[in-house]
Amino acid sequence: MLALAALPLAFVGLFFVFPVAAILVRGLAPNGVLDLAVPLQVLARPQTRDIAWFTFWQAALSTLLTLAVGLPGAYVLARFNFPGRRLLNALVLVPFVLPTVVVGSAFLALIGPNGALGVRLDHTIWAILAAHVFYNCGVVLRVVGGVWSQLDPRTEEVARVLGASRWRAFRQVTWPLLRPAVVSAASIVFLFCFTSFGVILILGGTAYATIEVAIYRAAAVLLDLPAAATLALVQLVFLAVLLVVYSRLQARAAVGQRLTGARVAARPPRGRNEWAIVGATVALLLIFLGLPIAALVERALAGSSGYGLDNFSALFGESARGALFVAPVEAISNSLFFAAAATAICLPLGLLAAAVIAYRRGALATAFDALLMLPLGTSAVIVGFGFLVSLGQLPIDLRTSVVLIPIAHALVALPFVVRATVPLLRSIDRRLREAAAVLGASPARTWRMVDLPMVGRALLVGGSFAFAVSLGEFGATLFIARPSAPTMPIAIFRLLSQPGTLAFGQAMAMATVLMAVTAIAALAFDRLRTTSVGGT
Amino acid sequence: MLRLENVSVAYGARPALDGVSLEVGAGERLAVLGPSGSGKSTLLRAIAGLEPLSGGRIDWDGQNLAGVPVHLRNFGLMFQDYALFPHRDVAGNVAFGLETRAAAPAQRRGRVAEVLTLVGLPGYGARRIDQLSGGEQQRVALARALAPTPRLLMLDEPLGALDRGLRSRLLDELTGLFARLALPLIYVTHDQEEALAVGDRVAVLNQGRLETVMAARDLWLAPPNEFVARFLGLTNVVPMEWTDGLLTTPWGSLETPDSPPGQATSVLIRPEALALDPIGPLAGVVSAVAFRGDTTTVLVRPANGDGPRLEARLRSVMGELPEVGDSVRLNVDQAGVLFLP
Amino acid sequence: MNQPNRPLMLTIAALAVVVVIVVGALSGIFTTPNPDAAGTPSPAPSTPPTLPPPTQLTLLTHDSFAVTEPEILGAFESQNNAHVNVLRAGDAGAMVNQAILTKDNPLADVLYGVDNTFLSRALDAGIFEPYHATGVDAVPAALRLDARERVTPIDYGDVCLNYDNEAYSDANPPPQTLEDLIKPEYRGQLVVEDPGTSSPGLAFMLATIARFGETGDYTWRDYWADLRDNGVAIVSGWEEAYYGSFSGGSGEGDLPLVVSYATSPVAEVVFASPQPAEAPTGVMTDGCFRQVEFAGVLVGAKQPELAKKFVDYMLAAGFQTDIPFNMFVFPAVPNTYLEPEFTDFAANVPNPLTMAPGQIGANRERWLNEWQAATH
Repeated sequence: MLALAALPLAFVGLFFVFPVAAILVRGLAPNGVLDLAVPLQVLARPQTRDIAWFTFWQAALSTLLTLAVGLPGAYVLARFNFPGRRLLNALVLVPFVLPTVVVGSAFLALIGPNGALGVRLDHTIWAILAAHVFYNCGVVLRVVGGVWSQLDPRTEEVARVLGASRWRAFRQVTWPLLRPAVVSAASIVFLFCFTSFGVILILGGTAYATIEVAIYRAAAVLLDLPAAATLALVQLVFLAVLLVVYSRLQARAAVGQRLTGARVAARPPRGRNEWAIVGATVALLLIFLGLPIAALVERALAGSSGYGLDNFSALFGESARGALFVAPVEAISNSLFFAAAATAICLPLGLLAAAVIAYRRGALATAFDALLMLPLGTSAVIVGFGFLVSLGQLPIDLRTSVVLIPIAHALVALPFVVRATVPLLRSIDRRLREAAAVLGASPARTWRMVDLPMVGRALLVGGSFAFAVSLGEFGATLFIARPSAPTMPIAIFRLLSQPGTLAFGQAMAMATVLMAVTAIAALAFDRLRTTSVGGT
Repeated sequence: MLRLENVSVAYGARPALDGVSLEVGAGERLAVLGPSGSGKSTLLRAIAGLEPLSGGRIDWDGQNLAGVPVHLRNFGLMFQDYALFPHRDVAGNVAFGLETRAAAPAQRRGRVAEVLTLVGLPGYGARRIDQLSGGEQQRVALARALAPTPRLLMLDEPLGALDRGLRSRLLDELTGLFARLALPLIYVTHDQEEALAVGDRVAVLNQGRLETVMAARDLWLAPPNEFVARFLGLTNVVPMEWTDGLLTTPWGSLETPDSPPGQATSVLIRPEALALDPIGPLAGVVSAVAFRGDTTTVLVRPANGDGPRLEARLRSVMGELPEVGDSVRLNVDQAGVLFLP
Repeated sequence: MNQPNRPLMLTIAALAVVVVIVVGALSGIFTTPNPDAAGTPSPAPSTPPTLPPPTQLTLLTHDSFAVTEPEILGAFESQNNAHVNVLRAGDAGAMVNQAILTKDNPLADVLYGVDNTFLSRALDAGIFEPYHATGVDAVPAALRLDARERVTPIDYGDVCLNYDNEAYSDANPPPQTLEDLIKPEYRGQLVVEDPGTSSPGLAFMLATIARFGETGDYTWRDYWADLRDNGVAIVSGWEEAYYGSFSGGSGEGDLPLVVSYATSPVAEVVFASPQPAEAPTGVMTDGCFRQVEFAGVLVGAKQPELAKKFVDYMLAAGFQTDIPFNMFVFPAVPNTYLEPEFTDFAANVPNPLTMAPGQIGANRERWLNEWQAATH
């Protein structure tokens, strides 16, 4: 059983542990000898403590807020069927992929100097928190919603008949079964907020600095590797503590969950109360997620002569000025290609890892689970530079290869796939398999009819995240030397590098295209999940 | 005392219950019988308050339950697949309903032990749910429903998930238990044997409508219409052809002096009213023989080829049993001939 | 307790093997083996025997690199039977750092885009081979900042203050000098970028150091303290400053003064539809800081001769004329043809502020800390 972990371990070992260790060694032992002078200096600085504290509490607060917005949304999306539900479920993944520079612009349009909302919140902590909620809500909605939609509602109904009010039934029956998914989602959200870079810089402004920003300054600007390595170690220590807490929380929750194995048919809301709940929650989601997206689309449609598709036709048309021109079709197809490659790498590895974690309980499996989460919480600069100093020694020089891009994406996406798959693997009821066998199904057929649908569903949830992570260029790919294969986010950066309303407009148009591609991909994944897999 | 008046429940356009009226008095046991999709489960859910009514009202002791939320009704409900709480052990499951009432932990423990003993699982408190067999899970679910002393107990196909042998054994145990409990009881099933065994009265549901409510024995002896008869497993129903004292059936003609009532359109011949008789009025060829212990069921088709099968339930010890392909003649006890509207 | 299902595990394992094979194959197809480690040459693609396969030249540059494709690189490729593989490595600083980190096993053959603010770091790390490029003699001495010719100047630009034409008028003129910026009439109108995270921000800070000096009655730190008192807004990057805070042209903010480039008005004209007759923004030509961009052959390059030819090519007329409208900087070779929009709208900066690269390299970190203290 543990042998199955070999491949994911090798992957993470080669593409994460090896590069990060290499750069840390370079930083802390530049001449082969451990030199702690600069590191100790850096640690002693009061700024370091302040930065570390700020990084932690803004991530914690952001996570709580994201849960506050996301959990009601997960409930509503899981249990109720209302017009537009599928679209909303796909749309929540869209913020995930947007480059921060674009999101910054959208937020400025809402809460900036000439903001539509009339209140000035740019360069405040509120902008940072709101942006974090915007980005990460989709994780909570889809991870928690996915599990919630498979919890048997009758367990809750029984509780109510036995005398528990709705709230008590939730707290005592649903919550314990939901908690593992919530902890999973919360840990991912926390890690993203912990290593948040663009949001802090752009929306927070120069008053706020996190460890990630400090690492960027040290490594990418000043080439002060000892300082960068020290800060990266501080990050890793935080990470280790978090992962221990996470493991403790999850260990108790390894309960055979009563998942129905089928998506419980969501029913339309009945009665005024239920419609009120659905309406209020959807409104909340539309405010946090929809407003910035709407601001972006508005910017994309705004031309010099009122609203129209000028920016789009400029984007897709023949551009005489080559400077900013990235053929949009090329950018879209490159993005899709990388996303498909990253997903293809991620899914089998994730499945293997999930199998080990789901079936083999114990300290080793938990440690393995934690190890897989590390790339999410480690500075992208460190990993990127790590690639450069370590991968050159391999027989095949991957440092400048196109393949490195989906690999780097897969590193970040792997925890998602594992998170989505483990609870479903654990819940495959032995009796379903036995029943199938008794009814005459061979093991292969049993696997196809029983395990595969469950696993397939999990893979599709994880797969949609992997796809989004790649579309949004997460991970270290922005800190390596990339061969020419521009993707949509790259095209957006290029367009924004020069002034000009056309440049800006086209960047917003490209961002809209990126959002549309993501939404379509999410809808496709969801469709696959509900139709071909298990037919439920 | 529970009273339903013209209760309807609709899912969108589709009515799941349509104008159902019935009563369950103190200490009474009502079995609700019907095929799947007939609305049996919806009926229980509506009484529990889990489904909103689209018409009619439900009263308990004269008080309208419309405004009463689910958790205050104090009705016991046991689902077909038990819906046990996986994250609690047996005692935790059984004690759940007691935790809302202001009972001391010692009292709760005592009650849990008491109820577990009642259902035949003494000492099972610390076991985990996933370690239990099907029959044990069913009893835990029952214990859980009984522990808070509900004023009405509702069971939705409680034996449905169990194998046949276990089912009949548990049926005996359950009926004994119900007799001791003296709780008003609604027992939902699609199996007529269970319904007749458990219920003082039996209500038959068909596509959301109540076909009839009758005392069990009366229902069995005189089913009110063809649907109910067939559902009770009495399949010897043919359109009525009676003229001048002679009843014509696909298997022969029968002297039946009493004239059928005006609305009669079909006739039922009870299987246990048939006996082998070399000079009997009915004849045919045996197409199937099923030995069932103390009775043997014999299916007879008309001599002249295809037609409805006549089901005869013969006592196994009475002489030679026929074999497939034999030509036989049968006699009918007139008391077993029923005219149906 | 759930038991694992053997067929399930076997299938997963099989899938995993497939993945390994696929990734390995892709790596093999898309990358060249490392001759140092493996000792085997890359397999030659099949081409007609009369023409040898094109040699791969790898160019390491920053994200702002842009040339008219496919003509510019294509011309070099066909002239030299080569294929140019462009690697983009972030901004100029990140690019230089990556080159330094991989000094022993360079990622590329030629590097383009190191500017004078990072030059000394690059030179001190010894990543370049000296090379006297064909045509470099024509480049003005002011741009040839390395006497040992380890790098060749290709283009230059100026970081200058831009102002919103609509915010000012004859009665209310825009600022003309650095000293104007601390006057009360321009209070709260200026947005600058953080020199620690932004290249134009750094350039502007260096301009103030060059102008006001480190010692004396009024130092650059005093200047920045005055700027702070006069309500200067500080943001992290150029996009944020220009698009987010600046009110002129395509900016969506409300501040009429921003640190940007001398060529920004050109972009405002060219990237507007319809093209206006006048630029919506203007440039303050005092207090500009000159940025010079260099190219160099990397030590340890696999194709040093081809790299040198590429450096020559970058100084040739074809490449030099292509620069302005693609990268919005000025060609190093004088008398290169400039399109009318450039001559009309780009600001001519007669006396830009400069600083020796060595000085920048030696003091950058200290200056950044002092800047931080002066402005907060």
